[in-house]
Amino acid sequence: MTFNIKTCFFVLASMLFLSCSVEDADSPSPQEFFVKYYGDLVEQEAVDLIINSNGNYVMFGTRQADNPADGKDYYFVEADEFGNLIRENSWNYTASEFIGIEETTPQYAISSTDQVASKIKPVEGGYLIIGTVAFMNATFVPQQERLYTARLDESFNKLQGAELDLWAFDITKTDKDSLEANANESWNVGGKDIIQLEDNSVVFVGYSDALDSSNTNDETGTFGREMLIGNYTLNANETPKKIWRKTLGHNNSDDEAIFISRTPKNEYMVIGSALNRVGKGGATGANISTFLLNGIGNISNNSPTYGISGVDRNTSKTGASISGFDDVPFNVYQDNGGFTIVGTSSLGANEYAFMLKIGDGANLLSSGIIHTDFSARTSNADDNLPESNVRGYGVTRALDGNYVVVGQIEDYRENIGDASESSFSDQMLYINVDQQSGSIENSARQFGIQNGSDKAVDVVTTADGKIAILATADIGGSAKMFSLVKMNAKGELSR
Amino acid sequence: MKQKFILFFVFSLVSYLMYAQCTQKLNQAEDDYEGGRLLGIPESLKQCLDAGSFSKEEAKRAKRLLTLVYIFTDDEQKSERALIELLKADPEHPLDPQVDPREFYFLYNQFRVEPIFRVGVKAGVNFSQVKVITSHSFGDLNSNYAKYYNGNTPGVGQSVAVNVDGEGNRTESVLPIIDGTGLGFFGELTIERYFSNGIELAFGGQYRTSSYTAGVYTNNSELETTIVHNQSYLRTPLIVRYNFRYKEAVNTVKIIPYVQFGASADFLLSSKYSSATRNGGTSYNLTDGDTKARGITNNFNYSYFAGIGLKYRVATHFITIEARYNTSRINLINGDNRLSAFPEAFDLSYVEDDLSLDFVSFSIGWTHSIYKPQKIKDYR
Repeated sequence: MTFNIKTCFFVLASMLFLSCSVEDADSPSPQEFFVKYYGDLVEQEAVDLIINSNGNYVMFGTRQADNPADGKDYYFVEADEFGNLIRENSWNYTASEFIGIEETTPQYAISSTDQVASKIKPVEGGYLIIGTVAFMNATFVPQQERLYTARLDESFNKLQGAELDLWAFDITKTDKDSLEANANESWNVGGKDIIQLEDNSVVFVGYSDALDSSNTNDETGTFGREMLIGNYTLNANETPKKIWRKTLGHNNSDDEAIFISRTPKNEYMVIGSALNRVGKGGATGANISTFLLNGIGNISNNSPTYGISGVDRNTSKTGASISGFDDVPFNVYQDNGGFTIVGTSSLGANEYAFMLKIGDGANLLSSGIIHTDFSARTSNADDNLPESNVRGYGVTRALDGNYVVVGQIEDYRENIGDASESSFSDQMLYINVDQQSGSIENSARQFGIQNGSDKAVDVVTTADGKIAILATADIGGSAKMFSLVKMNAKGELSR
Repeated sequence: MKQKFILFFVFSLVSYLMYAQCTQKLNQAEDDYEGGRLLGIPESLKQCLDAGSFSKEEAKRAKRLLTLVYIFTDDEQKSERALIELLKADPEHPLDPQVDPREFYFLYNQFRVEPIFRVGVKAGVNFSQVKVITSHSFGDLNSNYAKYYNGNTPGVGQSVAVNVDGEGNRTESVLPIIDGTGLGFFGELTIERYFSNGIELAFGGQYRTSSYTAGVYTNNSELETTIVHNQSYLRTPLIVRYNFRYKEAVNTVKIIPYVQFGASADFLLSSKYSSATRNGGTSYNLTDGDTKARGITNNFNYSYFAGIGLKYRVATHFITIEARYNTSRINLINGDNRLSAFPEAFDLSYVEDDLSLDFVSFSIGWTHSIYKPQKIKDYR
């Protein structure tokens, strides 16, 4: 009996020990590690990131169709707050819907279409998307671009009839529905941003090629690419109807709109770029163009154009200031203080991220080149190597009032001592910028795949004060994936 | 050469004659003891004992006889010394109630006859099993492409069927992933002390190697990462062991089953990826995989274990075979550095889970008893 009692005791004691669960007070909860890849081993290009009404991340971009000959599809990913995939969808605005151009100009012989993603916006019951559809010939050379917009359900499927494509002949038709004399079906039209109005109609912006002053819809343009803005109905089971449509731009420049929003005064703020056409006079290089429009798209008085000035990092030791950057905006963040624009300024082969803030009246608040602490130099004495180029693609405001700019650092190199370096190719970039558009010292972070051309394209501030970044991660072999990275407010990758 | 042979022959002959003579003396002494003629016995045995002319068994008989003689001649000091000599020659000398007088029992019980400690040496294999505390992944934690350890994989052509239809649509069917175990080895040196009622304690050091292989498919079967993570630990096991029928076994059975449990403070000596590879896209191999130097792993852990085993008595020593289950109690991975010290995570599409390692181990060992017979002091 003694034997049995002792045996039972030790067996029970052993079971008790082994049944204890592993506990570690310091172990992180699942959401604290947050780097995710989405997609397959094909080329996917991330573009836009939003948080929908369910608190889920919605990512928008493009992906190579399973059959490469079919071109690129729009690609949608929805992930929960932990990054777990909820749904994904992809589809193509099929080439058959472009048959009209082949009837007009058979030599185009459209073979496939490439979708170009621009923005996705949450609306009740689903989403609005806008982008461009480029259709290609048999050798994948784009023959024409069309603005494309559609209303989607929550599963990213198009609502029947709620889609619109605009091409050059649409834009160049006069009020009498006849074509401009110089209209050309190969002119490109593209979509960049869209908002929904209270009456469920949509206002979009983008660009349209080669209008001239004889076009009665072209208020300011004289040749060159023009900003396009239009107000259309876009509802399921209805044919979209034009309410009004305008083109905007500067003389002798190629203009593109990338952003539209409403100001507190219910004006439309349209932000884009104006690229001086060589030999046509006008402003130097590319600049940031703003337009304030009234409710039917007419220009208000104040429509300034801004350029970025700064210090060339390669001549910074002499303090030489430079001008003549080509400033191309890429993204705009709107808050109570106005509009914060990020993009890339370039001067020759050198590229710099910039941030520019304007008020609701398009008045300049601040602007500046964003300097990182990164250098391609392997030592301080090695001045011959240029610093890495930096491109700004996305911006959000952190809870501390400063801004987070994301983008890409080109050919990032890390000094690993003894004048040797470790090359990381193009990396995703995070940097904090203060409210005066000045980069905050030691805040820049780079991360990504060592040998891939990665870039962070958009950023949002989450409800818990963290920073979620959408990026394209290049894993090589023509495979690029969506990557969603969550950081803390200090720009540190979550564990 | 011939002379050497003759010398050897002569030496052997003399030794044999002396041995035969001592055996005869021992037999005579035992007869004298039975006959009550005690006084001449010590003198007759002394020369043979001093010369080492008894065989081992004869020496034990002689020393036992001397102990009895001194007991019955009331020479307490000499009887104690004789008993110590007996116990040195025959540790844990078994008493026979049919033969040994009560006086011998009385004296015997005043002495420490058990070993003062034992030295145990074990070597064996262990099979590690990863216990995931919290899972982390570059892919979808809820997908079919979960991380798996040491197991069968849903590798292409094995468990995943990839089908692409005429329109280029792709479907995959994935079979369940089965985790397995990783192989490692260990060696252990312990100092053991028996107390009473079958209970003994052991404490010592252990060197243990272990490994686990992690496999990850990120989103699809074509983007595959395989990591082989090796660790070595210096461990300090403290063991409480219960031996069944320990006392009876001294005289009757040779096999002693036991159960044990214990705890150990574990110090990480090394930790590294012996291989880390991602396939899919442009393949990537990590060359610098020292996870300890990077601080990706925690350097300290502690663990509990329980085991069962058998001791097979060889004289006063034991051959042991043993099975243990060991569970580590602290996350092997340092979450603070999991990513910050591991930028290659992006390249590998891999990040460590929070995990601990459990082990099933099997060992064979030798336990050597160390004796120092001594009269137990009376503190009354």
